[in-house]
Amino acid sequence: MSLIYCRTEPVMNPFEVPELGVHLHSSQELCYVIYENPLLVMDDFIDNRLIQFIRDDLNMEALADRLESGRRSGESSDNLLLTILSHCQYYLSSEVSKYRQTLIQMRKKHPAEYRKAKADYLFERKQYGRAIPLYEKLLEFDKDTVVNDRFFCRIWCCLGACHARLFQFDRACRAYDRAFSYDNRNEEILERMYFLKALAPELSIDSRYQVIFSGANQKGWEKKMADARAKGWESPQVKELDELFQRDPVKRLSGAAEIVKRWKQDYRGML
Amino acid sequence: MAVNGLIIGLDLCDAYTQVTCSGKEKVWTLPTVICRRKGKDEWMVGEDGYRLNLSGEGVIVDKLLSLAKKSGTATIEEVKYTGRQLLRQFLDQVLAMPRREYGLTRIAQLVITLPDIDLKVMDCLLYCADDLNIPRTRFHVVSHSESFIYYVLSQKKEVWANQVGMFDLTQSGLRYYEMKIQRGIRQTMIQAEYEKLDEGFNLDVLETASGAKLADKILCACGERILGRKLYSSILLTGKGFENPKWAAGFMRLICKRRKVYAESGLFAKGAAVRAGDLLGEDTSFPFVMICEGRLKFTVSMEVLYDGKPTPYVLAASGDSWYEAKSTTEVILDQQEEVVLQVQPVDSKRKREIPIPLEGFPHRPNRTTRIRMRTGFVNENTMAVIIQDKGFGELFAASDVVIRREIEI
Repeated sequence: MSLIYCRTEPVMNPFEVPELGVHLHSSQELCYVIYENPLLVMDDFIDNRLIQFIRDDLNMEALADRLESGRRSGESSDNLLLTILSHCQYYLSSEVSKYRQTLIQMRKKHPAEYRKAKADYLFERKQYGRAIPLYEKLLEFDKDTVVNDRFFCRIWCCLGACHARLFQFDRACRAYDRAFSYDNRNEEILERMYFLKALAPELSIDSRYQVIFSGANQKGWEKKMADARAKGWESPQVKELDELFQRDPVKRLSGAAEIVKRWKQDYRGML
Repeated sequence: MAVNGLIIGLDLCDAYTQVTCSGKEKVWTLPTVICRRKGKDEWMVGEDGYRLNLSGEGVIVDKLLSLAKKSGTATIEEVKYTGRQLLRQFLDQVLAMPRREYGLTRIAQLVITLPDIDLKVMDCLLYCADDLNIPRTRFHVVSHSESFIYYVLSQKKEVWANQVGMFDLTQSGLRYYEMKIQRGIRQTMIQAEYEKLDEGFNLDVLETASGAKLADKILCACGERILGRKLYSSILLTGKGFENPKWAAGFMRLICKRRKVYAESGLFAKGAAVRAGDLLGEDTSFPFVMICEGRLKFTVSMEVLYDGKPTPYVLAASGDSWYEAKSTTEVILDQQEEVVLQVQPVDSKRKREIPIPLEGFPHRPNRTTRIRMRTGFVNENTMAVIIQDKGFGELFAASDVVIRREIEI
């Protein structure tokens, strides 16, 4: 239990982290982002832009010099990240050690697994547009003990999910189709394609799937769909809309504009 | 170091005002009155004001300090003036005296000394300084006790090697000041206190021989009671009553016994000028902890993690002027749901803890709540604390939660 003293940091140009949709205004925020998002920062986070921010805005000349010389001498980015955490004193040394272990564990992963973890991280943060090229890159890997049919099936499924969340139902459907080609016993893929068709009836799906759907657990899928719809009706967002439409036309219009603006921002963030 | 401008000490009382400049002998003494010429926006102060009023050409206002203290007003020829307006006008006229005398208009430092420290009067004086275009960095208000300390310290060391006593006899009454020095290993502490004595009398009684004799007797009794067998390095006499102390022959005999006695009429103004001069230097010439009216008698701190180590962070230190002891600090909460202030009196090693619970603050992950703490003082013993939730940048937006507390210390 303590109070951490905050030094004066004359930040004039906050540091943008587009993947998180935020700007950083202090060394503590920088440390927090590094610590909580290792997959985001492990590869190319420390660049000239960040060093300039540390030097000019955080007024940490010594740290900036240390990072610059580290980069010149080819020091690993993991070490440089640990240097930032140790220098800023926002985390205890025991926590920095734990972070070091996390980085080591990540680096020990198969390159394909590591990249998938990175893409999954972006997916979790709803950064679908940024996750898609990473997943696509994984499809170029040569087969081995890790990169097998099951792995490719998972990657295509992830791509399907990314496209579906970007409302690109055609592409999503094609991705699930490819996933099914790697694992034609996977009922989960069929279920997702069924849901896509239900959401976008105009979607053209290969006729062989119609046959497969009829033989599958359609009732169970219908129930899941109904449950999801019912849950949707109860969601705070829908309730917010309901309340909005009960207001007078002027307030309704300005409220709707606000919501649409928010949706647009959210969608742009996903791309 | 050559100073560009006047270094002024100004003693502002309800009855009289004294002005002097650092390093100069001249002291201007005038009644604290202001008079406006009828039908004109022309102002006179002091004796000139009285003359204008006696000639029937002006309207006079006195007790300007009391007027400002009670946020009062005065109406002159159907124009209502606030206490602050009149005080501003008065100060402008008074400051014109040294300006004229020394041919300088810029004020490098101005220290006003008051008999009693009052928040309202201090605020009013600060606004007056703003109106007179004197930046706040060049304007300070201190108590008479503080001026007394600075005056004494500016004298030869033998004058203040040990205890110093002072009698201040004015139309407003009789006060006894005492200054003690505590020499420590790390620092020297200088403490000054005063006592308003009931034995005060109207100075008009000195105009008759019997009145003067009675006044001398009163002072003698008073001196015997206060000075007793105590050892003093020196005794000072100040105030209008001691301008010519011939009437107090008995009292003088008493205090001069085995003691050095000095009389100084513009002592508080001179002390204020010493303080003003000291404020101009990069380092103080008086590296002591001074405890007196207007200065804090305790240190308020809180423990923070600085460079990863628990360190006491001082919000206000003993000896700081309470009016100027303001601080703004930002800290991040690390599994902490309260801010604990530690108060250590100057005369004790025991610390008292004052917890301020952060009620109503939003729940966030650990170390993602930054708070801004602003502290100041309402009076010598009451600290005002404002704690504001600043969130954690754009990662966790700030709420509008603010905690305001006034703490009796």
